[in-house]
Amino acid sequence: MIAEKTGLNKSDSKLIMSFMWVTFISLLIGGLMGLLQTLVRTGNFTLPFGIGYYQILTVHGVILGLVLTTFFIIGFQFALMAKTVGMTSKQRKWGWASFWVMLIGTTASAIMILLGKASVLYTFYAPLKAHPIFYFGLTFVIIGSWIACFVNFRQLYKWKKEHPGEHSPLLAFMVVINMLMWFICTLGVAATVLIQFIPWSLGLVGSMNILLSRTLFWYFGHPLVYFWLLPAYMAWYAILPKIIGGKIFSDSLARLAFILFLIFSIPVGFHHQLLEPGIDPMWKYIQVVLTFAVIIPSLLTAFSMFATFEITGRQKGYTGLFGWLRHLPWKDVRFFAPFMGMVAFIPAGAGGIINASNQMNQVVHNTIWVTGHFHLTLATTVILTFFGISYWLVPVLTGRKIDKKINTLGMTQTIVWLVGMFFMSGSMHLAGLLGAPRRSAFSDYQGSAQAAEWIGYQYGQAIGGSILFIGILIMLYNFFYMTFKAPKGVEEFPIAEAPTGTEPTPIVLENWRLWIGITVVLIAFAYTIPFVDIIQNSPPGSPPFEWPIGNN
Amino acid sequence: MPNTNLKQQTELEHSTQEPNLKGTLVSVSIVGGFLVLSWLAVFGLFLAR
Repeated sequence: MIAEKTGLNKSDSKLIMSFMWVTFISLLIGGLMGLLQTLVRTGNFTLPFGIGYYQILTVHGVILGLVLTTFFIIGFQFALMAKTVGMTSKQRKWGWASFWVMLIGTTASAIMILLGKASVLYTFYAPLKAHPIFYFGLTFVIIGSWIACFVNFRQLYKWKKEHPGEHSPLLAFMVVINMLMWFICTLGVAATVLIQFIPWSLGLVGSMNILLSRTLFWYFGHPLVYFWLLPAYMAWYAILPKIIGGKIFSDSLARLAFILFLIFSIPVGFHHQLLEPGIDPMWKYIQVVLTFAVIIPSLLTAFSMFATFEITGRQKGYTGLFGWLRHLPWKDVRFFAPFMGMVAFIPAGAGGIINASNQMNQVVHNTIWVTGHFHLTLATTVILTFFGISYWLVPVLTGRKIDKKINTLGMTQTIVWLVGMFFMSGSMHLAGLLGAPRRSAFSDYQGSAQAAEWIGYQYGQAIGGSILFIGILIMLYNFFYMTFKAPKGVEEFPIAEAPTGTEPTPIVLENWRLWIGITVVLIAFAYTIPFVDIIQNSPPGSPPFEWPIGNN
Repeated sequence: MPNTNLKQQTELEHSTQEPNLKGTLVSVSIVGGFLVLSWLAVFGLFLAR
């Protein structure tokens, strides 16, 4: 029965649920570490058993920023592909290979962090040196994700061969765009880990070009943000319209926005390195301009969402300038959680534009404002959308139905999350504007007057962090309930239809050679000369540092 | 009567092609205004420092 309704068979569901289990276990571990950090930063809490602050900071960043996101996204995307273009048993076997390779890598890296041998934060900036196994583990996570990339590419290729002349299903198109972006950007982090970090951490080479390693990291690091965000956009564009009883605003506009994200997400890493010496300011300027080009598809998305809501509301008979807002299913958590994620993206996007502006970056660089910013983007916009997806995806996979109880708990969880994040992220933003640093344990900086201004906000972060941890516990209960306890039945896999009576989607939007070609040319333009400059003119490389926090 | 039906259908198609998006226009303008104001606020902070 599940297969008929959802297009997923039991074997597909088992694979995807495995990704969901890792996601929610990661949420518990990473969230607990986040709570502990906020408590330490009040100055009134000391970690027990000799556990280091930077150890839990690394666990938090790696397990939530890299592991939770990658596992959820790949699992969700397998669900979308199986539903829209199908999954053969061979593809499913490769899907399992992807899962196990990623899990082995995650476990290896996690063990090293827990042993205190890799307290290098999720950005693993050199010259901090972790145990080599940490880097090998990360390599396995990337390789596992590449297997998923090629499974997704193969799924769409096979479907296209069987459906000549037809447009690929919108969601399958979006998944392939996201995985293309992921594959291209992870080449950078794979290069720095394999060519620089592993030989250096093994002692095979004595020094490393630090600027090159950071530049390769941020070549990956910014599109990483879009790798998190695009699955949320998939749900906004193509799933939410179904939940509210409407249709997709424009199939062409949605595809265009995703193509623009592919093109403009990668050649922009320098806006994370605006204060990094050694990079020619001209190339920083060019990459800032390209960064601002990413605003275009974000605003296309905002327009598209408002238009979907308004058109659907007016079709239902609601009138007035904002009367259509009343038709939205405010009491349906499948809508409410992602919608609140969208709302959070407005201040999150505003903060992003500030971060990427050269002068303003000097106001906020390396302050806890930046931490507050990505807790709005990733930990609110993206995560609330992922939670919203879970409320229908997990029941679909387990052959159960979302009931009134889980809907109420989900609504409560969303509100708890928003309140917690308001306090935590809000305090981080304000403290950051007053100069409070990110990435640092508690210190009163020898009684400095400036540091005394931050303490109230650090309490605010601890209050917010505690509320958020309650939100995590509720979410975990919801996951268990949807997996084991919810009433059995058939839950709908909501996929919206394209509008009728509109212009057909231009065929050029599926010209993969064209869009990949433009992407590669733009990357080559933005990075070739800076890389040559960095390799030729950098100061002598740095030996590894195992202290004070990296590998004690 | 077929003519009336045709007219109604044409009107329906016309209204489908030209949806009323005034609320969307105002909404995206508010979002754009918020982006500009927050940028200017931090730029002011930069100048003040």
